[in-house]
Amino acid sequence: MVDAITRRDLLKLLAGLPPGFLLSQFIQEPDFRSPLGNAQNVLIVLFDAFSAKHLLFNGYPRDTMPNLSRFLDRSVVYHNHYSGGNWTTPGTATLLTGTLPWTHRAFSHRDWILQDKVEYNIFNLFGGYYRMAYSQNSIPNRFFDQFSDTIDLIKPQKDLFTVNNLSLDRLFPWDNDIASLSWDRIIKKGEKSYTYSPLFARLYEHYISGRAQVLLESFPRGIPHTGEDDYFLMEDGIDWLSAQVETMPQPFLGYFHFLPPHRPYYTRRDFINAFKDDGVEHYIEKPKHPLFSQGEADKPISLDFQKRQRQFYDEFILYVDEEFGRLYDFMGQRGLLENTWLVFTSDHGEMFERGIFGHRTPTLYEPVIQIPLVIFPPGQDERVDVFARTSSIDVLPTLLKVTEHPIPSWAEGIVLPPFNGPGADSDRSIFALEATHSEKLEPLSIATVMLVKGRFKMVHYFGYPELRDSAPLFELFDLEEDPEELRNVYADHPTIAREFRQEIIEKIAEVDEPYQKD
Amino acid sequence: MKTLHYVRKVYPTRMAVQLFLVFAFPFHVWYFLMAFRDFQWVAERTELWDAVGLVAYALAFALVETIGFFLGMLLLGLLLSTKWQDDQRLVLIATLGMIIAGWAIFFQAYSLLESPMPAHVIAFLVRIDHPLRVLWAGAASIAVLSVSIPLFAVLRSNQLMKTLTDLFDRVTAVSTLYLAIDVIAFAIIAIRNIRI
Repeated sequence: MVDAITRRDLLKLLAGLPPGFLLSQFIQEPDFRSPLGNAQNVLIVLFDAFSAKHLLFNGYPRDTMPNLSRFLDRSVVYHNHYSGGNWTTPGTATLLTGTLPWTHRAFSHRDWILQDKVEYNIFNLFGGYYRMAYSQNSIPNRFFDQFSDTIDLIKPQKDLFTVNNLSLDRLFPWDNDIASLSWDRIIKKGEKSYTYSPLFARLYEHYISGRAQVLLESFPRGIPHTGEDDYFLMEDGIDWLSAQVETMPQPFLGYFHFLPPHRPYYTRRDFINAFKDDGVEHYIEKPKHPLFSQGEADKPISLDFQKRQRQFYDEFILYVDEEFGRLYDFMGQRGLLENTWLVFTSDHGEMFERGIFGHRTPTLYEPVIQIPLVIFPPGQDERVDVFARTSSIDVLPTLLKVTEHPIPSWAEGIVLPPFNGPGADSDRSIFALEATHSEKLEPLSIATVMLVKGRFKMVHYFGYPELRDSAPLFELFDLEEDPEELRNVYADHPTIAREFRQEIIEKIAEVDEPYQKD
Repeated sequence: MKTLHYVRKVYPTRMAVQLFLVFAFPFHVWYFLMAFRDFQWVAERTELWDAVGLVAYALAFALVETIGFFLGMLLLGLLLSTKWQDDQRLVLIATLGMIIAGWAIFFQAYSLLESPMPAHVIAFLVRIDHPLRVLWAGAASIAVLSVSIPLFAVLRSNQLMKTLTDLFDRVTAVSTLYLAIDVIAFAIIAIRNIRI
């Protein structure tokens, strides 16, 4: 017979309540978010510095993405998609906030997204989703820090790096940028050929050489890296991403930013010389830009150098393609493509012409500002091609629309066709901005503004030292007749030139207004 | 315990502290110079506070490297005869440490200044059959002589011993200041990494 519980027993039990309550804080069920009805996942996979001009489906003579080509019949392909800026800071901030650089004000290395615009981020708009972010590039990690309240998991940058040594940014993740830079200056010789550390740097060099030796067999041109020698393999990133998409709570929103094909163009052994002597050569001979070409003004462009750089870059894209193909196949096999919106894109392009190599340039030519955008809707079984001009700012409202989330009024883009109904307005104005040397909280002083509308594109340069002795520069191109932007037709189309010029000037005045001092 | 007792016998506290401070000097001077070389461009890249952060991380690592070097030199110093007086052993170890640190810094400075090898040396090396062997032999000779001559001189000359003792006393005074700055550096690092 069970003894009845006495008052004393009850008092003893009640005494256990406070510690029990405290203990329960540590023993909790995993934060499982039950599916929001039929809510679908969103996965953005971004490859840094990927120029849309280097894709076969955009007319490039090399098939740099044979794997992607296999999947296009189940996708929406955007043929004229523009980034908000020509390098990672403005480009990525534009994608993640759905606003152009003159709104989010992330212009330069020293710029974060404006504090009162931090809530304008894609993660904040997918409440109820499991939100995850990772970037091999350190710049987006600064934005993740700003958005950290709205991201459930931020994978530290170097967690997926191959030679994961004890570096300062691992010890000090909250000061990632300067800790990483300090570590580079202190311990890594790299191109500067000296270090702060007289002795430990030598030990570190031997340690790294040993670890890297194995990898060099697969990457004879060099191991993909960022900074001095933070080595990474795309395989590790894709393997980890695959494991995440299979196991993380659904619905999820994931943003994954991989560095390739950003320089250095160190592709894997199996892709080396895939495009050597294939007849593409330096591609198209274009004149040096009169103001902004790199190197000495009177030295001719080395077409041989241009040809090699382009070849190396394209072969690096083959590596990207292989790994993206692996991810896509994995998701397909696991049935994840049936309920996931997969987005393939970039933050900016890359140039190999006009004496300009890379993407750090005041110019906004098509190769550096046009980026790939391919959206794989869940269960799609046909290819849709969109030739209307679109912008990175459109990705955010589009993903919100297709996942049945409300679109905030501050979003500057539109819902992309075919998800918006009949089609995008072909006369819509698409802007991009390069303003690295402008101050964040002041009117634009040194900048390049691009306006694309219909078949025409105007680029306006102002404030640059190179323009000191001349008026601000306006260039007008007819992209249908002259897709390679070889002829400035400003004088040939005075009405259009005047209209575009006026629109750019009015837009600059509009975005400068909040920063004008009385 | 026995080992620790032995080490404490070989290195009395005063001696150990003095050695540490002597070794802190070259590392901190070099790190200061290097960090302030980069100060301006880091400040322009982002902001002044980040440039201060760079200096802070540099000084923190200078302290770490000093500790590592100090421990290495203590081990090396165990090879010296304990029949010599503490002052003698202190000067010898400190001198040896300064020479080693000096060489390490010299090679960094050589790379920094992008100094090419003198033309006549290159011309000589081109002429001979085994330039690499000659280079190694030359480097080894210079290294051995740069260490052995000063140490020999210290052992032989009381005047030199006294001069170096005075010099190291001054150096320890300056190094004490560097260590105080290191404390500030750690505080800056802590502030930079606080997340509210």
